[in-house]
Amino acid sequence: MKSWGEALGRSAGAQFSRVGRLRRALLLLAAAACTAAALLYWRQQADSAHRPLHSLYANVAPQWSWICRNDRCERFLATETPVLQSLPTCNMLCASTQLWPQPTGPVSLATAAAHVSAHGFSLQVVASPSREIKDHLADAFNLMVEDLKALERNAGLDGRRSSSGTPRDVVVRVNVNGTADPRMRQDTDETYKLTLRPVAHTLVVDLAARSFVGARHGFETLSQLVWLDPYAASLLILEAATVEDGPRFRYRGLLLDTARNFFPVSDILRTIDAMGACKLNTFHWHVSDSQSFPLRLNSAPQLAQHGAYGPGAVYTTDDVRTVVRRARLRGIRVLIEVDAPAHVGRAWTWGPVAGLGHLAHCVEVEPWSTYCGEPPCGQLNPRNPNVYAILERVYAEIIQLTGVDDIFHLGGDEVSERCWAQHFNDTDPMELWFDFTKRAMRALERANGGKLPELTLLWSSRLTHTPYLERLDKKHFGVQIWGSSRWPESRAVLDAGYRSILSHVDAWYLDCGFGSWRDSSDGHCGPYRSWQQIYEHRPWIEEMPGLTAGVEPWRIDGGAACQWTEQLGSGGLDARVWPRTAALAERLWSDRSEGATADVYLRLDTQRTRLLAKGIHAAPLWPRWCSHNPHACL
Amino acid sequence: MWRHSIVFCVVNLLFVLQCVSTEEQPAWHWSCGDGKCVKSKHDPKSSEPALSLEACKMFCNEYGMLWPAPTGETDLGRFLSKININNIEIQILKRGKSDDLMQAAGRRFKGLVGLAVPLGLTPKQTGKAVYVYLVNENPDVKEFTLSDTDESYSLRVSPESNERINATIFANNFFGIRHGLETLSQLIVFDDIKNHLLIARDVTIDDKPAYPYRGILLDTARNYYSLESIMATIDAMAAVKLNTFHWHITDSQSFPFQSTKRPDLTKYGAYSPAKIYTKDNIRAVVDYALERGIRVLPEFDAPAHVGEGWQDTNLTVCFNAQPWQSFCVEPPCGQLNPVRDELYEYLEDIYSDMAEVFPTDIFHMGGDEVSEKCWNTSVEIQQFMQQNRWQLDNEGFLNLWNYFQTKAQDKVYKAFGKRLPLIMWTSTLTNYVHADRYLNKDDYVIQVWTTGADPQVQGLLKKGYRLILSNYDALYFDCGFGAWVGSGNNWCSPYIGWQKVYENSPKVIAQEYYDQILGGEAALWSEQSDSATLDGRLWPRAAALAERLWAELPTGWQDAEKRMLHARERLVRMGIKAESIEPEWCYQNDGNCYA
Repeated sequence: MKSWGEALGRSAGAQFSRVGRLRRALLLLAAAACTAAALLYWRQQADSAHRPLHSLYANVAPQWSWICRNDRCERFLATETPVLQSLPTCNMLCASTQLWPQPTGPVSLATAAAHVSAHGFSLQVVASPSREIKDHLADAFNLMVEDLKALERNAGLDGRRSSSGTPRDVVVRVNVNGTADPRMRQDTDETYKLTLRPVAHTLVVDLAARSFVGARHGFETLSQLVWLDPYAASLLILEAATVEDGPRFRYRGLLLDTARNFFPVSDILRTIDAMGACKLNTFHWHVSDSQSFPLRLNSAPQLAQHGAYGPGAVYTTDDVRTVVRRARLRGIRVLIEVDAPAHVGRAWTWGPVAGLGHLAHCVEVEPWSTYCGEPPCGQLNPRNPNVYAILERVYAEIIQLTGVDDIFHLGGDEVSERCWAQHFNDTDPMELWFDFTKRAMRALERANGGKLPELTLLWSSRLTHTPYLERLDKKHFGVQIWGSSRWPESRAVLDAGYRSILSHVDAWYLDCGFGSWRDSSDGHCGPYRSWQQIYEHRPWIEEMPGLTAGVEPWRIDGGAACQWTEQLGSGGLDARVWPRTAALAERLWSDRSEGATADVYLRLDTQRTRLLAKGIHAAPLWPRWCSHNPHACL
Repeated sequence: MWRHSIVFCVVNLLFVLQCVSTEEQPAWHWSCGDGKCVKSKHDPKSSEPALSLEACKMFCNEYGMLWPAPTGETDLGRFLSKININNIEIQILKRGKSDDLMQAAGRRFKGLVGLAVPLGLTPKQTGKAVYVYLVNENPDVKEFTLSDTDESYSLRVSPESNERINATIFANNFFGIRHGLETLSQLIVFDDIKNHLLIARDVTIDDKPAYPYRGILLDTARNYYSLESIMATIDAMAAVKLNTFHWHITDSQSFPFQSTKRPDLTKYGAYSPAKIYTKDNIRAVVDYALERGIRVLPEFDAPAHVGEGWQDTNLTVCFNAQPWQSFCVEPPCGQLNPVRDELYEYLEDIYSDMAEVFPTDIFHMGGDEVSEKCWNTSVEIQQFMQQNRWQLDNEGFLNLWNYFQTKAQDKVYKAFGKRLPLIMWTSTLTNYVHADRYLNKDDYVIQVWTTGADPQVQGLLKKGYRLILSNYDALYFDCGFGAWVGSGNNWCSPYIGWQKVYENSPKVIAQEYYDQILGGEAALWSEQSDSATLDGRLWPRAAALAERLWAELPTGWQDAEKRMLHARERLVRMGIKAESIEPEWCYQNDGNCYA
C-alpha cells in the first residue's frame, strides 16, 4: 500500500525507524448481527530528513523515547534509540485506534502523521438541508477549532513557529443529507462517515451525515485524530483515515442533581463539553428537589424565590438558554426534570399566602424518616387544582427553554404513601399517586400544545410495579430504572415491554461509596462503582429473555449515569464524574462485547488526557508511571 | 464644566443603583433555639433583630464556629460588634528573629477576614476599629522541635471604647501567636442582612493542642502535583491548625526530587523535565509552610519503593521485575542493593540534598514494604548473606535490612549534622517482638499504618516506642475507589467518611500509653489522585482529623457536625475544592439531617 508523509525520526536507516510505522490499522465491522475484523497494513516510507529537535521543555532534552514493538509502546532512554518519539505520538501510531468511544463501523487509520496547526482548519459545507444546519455546523466546527487552539495554547505553542516544517492545511467538507432540524431528537440518525486523505499539500476530510448531530460526532472523531506532540512542539494529525460510525443505543445520558448542592453554570457547560467529547447525547438536569429549587422560571418565579439556597444559587432563564445552546452544538438534548409529586420542599410553601391553598404537604415534617427517604420531606398536594396549573406553566416554560418536546421527564421518584395517607385518609394513596400522574400528564399535554411527547419518563417506583404498571399507557410512558439490575421489579418493567432508560444503582450510580452523610455507616448504596464496573455492565446481554421464549423483547432506549449530589459540591464534580462517565459512553455507543481489556485501559487513559486538555479535571486511572509504561500495570 | 456634570450624574446614578441593590433584603433569617439555628422567612418590616446564618451560629453552640475546638477556657460572650474592615490594625509588641513570620501571619489574617465577605459584596465602611496586639514571649524562636514546641496561646477580645475593640493574643512563640490569629479570624463573620462585618466582642480563649504532631502525607511520586496545589494544601492545613506536611517525594514510579549531587536520579526519574520539584520550588514550599506554622517533613523511602531514576546506577535489584506480584505489592518493583558500598555514598548525597532544602527537626526514612523475595533474586546478595553467616530466611533478611538501616542512619545524621529523630513505617523490622533489637526507641518514632486494633500498636507502646498513627482503616484517604490493577475496588475499600476520621481517637487506641502518641497523620497515596482530585480527597476529611488531634474531645462526630459544615464552607471560600459532605440544606437547617 502506498504511504504518505514524513516521519519524526532523527535518522532514517536506524534500527527502530520502521518499527513504529509498520502498524496495524483496524478494520472493524460491527453490525447488529455480525462482526468481522480485518487488518490493513499501510507501510510507511522512511524519511531521510534530519529534523532538529524543538522540544517543549526549554533547554532540557527529553529523556525518553517510545517505540512501538509488538503492538505496544515501549519506553527507552532517548540516548539509546535513534528515533526520538514522544508517548502520545507512539500511542497514536501504534496498534490501538485511540478513539473513544470506539467506532462501530469499519475503521482504517494511517500510520503516518502530518504537522497541522489549529489555524489551518477550515470548513466547507458542501450540502446542508437548511440554513440553520449550516449555521450550526459552522458554530460546532469553531468549537472544535477552539479546542485545538487551547491545546496549542496550553503547550505554549501560541505564536511560536514550529521547526518541523510548514503545517498542512486541513479542509473539512461536510455533507448533511437528511433532517433540517439541528436538535437531538428521538428519531435523529447519529451516524456519520469520515474520510481523511492527503491531496497535494492539503489534507481533505470528507464528512457525510444524515443530521447535524451526526456531523458533529464526526468533528469529535476528527479532533481525536489530532494530538499534541511535546517533542515536535506541534499538533500532529494522522495522514489518512476512514471511519464509519453510529451508536448502539440512542439515549446516552448523564444526570446531574443541582438541588442537593448548587453547581454554577460554568460547571454545567464544562460537563457538557466533556459529554460531547464522549458522544453522549442527553444531559438529564435534575434541577430541583426537596432541598432546593434553583431554577427561576418566569412562569413561576415564586418557586426559586422560596426554594433557592440564596441569591447566588439561582439559574436564570438566560443561564438555561446558555446551557441549551452549548448542548445543542455538542449534539446534546437538555432534559430538565422538576421532580414531582415527591422530592419537593419549601419552594412550594407560598400557596396559602397567595390564596392558592396548600400546594404541598409534609414539607420539612419531623421525624423525617417516617415520611421520606432523606431530610427534608415534602410532597405536592394532589387534590389542589392550582398545583396542576402551576405544573402546566412550569412544563410549558421548560419545553420552550430547552426546545425538547418529544421527550419529557415527570420525575415520580419515591412517593411516600404515609404523608398523603395522613392528609387524605379517605383514599388509597396509590390511587392518589396514579391520579396525580394522570393529571400531570394532562398538564404536560396542554403545555406541549395539545400533543403528548413521544416518550414521557417516570422513575421506577411502586407505581411501575404490578398492578399499577399495567395501567400506564405503554404508548406514552417509559421508565427510567434506577433499581438494582438484580431486583425482580427492575426486570419486570422490561419484561412488560415498556421503553426504558437504565440507571441501575448497582452499576451506574456515581454517588455511591462515600459513606453515609447522616451517620458513620457505609451509606445506602456503597461501594464505589469503578469505571471498570460501569464499563462491563451489560444487562441486556446477560439477562435478555431468549427470542424464542415468546416474550416481548426488551425495549431499552439506552442508559444514564446518575450523579446525585448530597455529598458532592462544585469543586469535586469533574473528578467524580470523569473519566467514569466516559466508560459509560463507550458502553452505550459501541457496546463492544469485550470487558475492560488492556486496550480499553489505554484508550480511556488517552481520552482522560483529552478531557484534561479541555479543562475538565478528570481523575487519574493510575500512577502516571503506568501511562509511561503501557501494559506494565495490566 | 458640562463634562464634569455628566461625570457627576453617572457617579450619582451608580451610587443610587448600588443603594438599591444592597437594599434588596435576603429572604431568610435565623434564630437560635435549643442549640440549633432555625431558618424562617425574613420580614424587613419587623422590628425584631434579624440574624444572618453565621451571626446565629456564632453563639448557638458552645464553640461557635471555631474549628478545631479550643481545649481550655472558652467564652465567646453574647454580643457581636460591627467593625470596619478597613480599620484593622496589627501590632507586634515584642520584636525578634521571628518578625518576618509574625508579619506574614498578620497578612494572612487580614486575607482571611476579607474572605468572610461573599464575592461581589462590599461591607459598610462604618463600625469599630479592631486593634490586634500580638504578645510573643520568645520572639526569637522560629524553628520546630518535635514534642517540645509550645503551640499554646490565649486570646482576649474586649471593647476598648465606643470606637474600638482590642484583641490580644499571648503566646510563648510565633507558632502559638499564629494559631491565635487563626482563631480570631473565625470570630469575625459577615452579616448579609445588615451588610456588615461583625466580631464577637467579649471573648476569652485559652488553647493548646492535645498532640504535637498533626500531619498530612502527600505522595507526589505516583502522580505529580503542581506546586500551586501543594501551596493550597498548606493554606488549608493552616486554617485547621495542622502542623506537619509529610512529603513522600519519591517512590518506585518516579523521582521528582531534584538531587543536585546525583542529577541523573532526577533526570531519569522524573515523569518529565516539567515535573520536577527543584530546590527553589522546595524552598518556596518550606518558607510558605513555616509562615503558616507548618513543618515540611521529607521522606526518602528506602530500601524498597525505589526504581525510576536509579536505572544507570546498578544499585537496585528486581526493578520492574515480572510478574510484579511475586516481588512487590504494585508495579513497578524495585529495591536498593544493600551490599554495594557505593549505595551509601548515593544515600549520603540524597540526604545532603534534602538537608540543604528541608531545615527539618525530624526525618522520615521510609522502610515501607520490603520484600525478601526481591532481594533473594540477587546472587550477589545471597553470597553476601552467606559470608555473614545469615540464613536466607526471615531472620537473615532482617539482619540484612538492619545492616542497611544502620548504615543509612549514620548517613542521615552526617548529612543533617545532628542526631535528629527518625521515623519509619511499621513493617516486619518494627515488629514489637524484636523491634528493639534493631531500632533504638530513643532514635526512632514508628508510624503505624496497620489498623488501630492491630496488636502491634499495644506491643510497640509497651516497649516504649513513640508512635504516629496513620491507621489505614481511618486515615488512608485513597481508599474506596476502583482498583487500578485488577478488578473490583481498591484494597482498602470502602471509602472512609469524615465521621470515621473524626472518631479515630489516638487516646482510645493507646489507652494508658497515651503519652507516647505524638499524634496522627492522614495519608493520601496517589496511585489514583493528582492535582485534579487533591482538594476533594483531603478536604474536609483532614479537618476532621485536625480537630481530633488538636482537641481530642470525648464526644463524637454528631456534636461536631454543625461546626464541621461551617469549617468546610470556610475552606471553600479559601478556594479549596473541598468535597461536599451534605446538601447545603443541612448547613442552612441545623440539626435536621440526623439519621
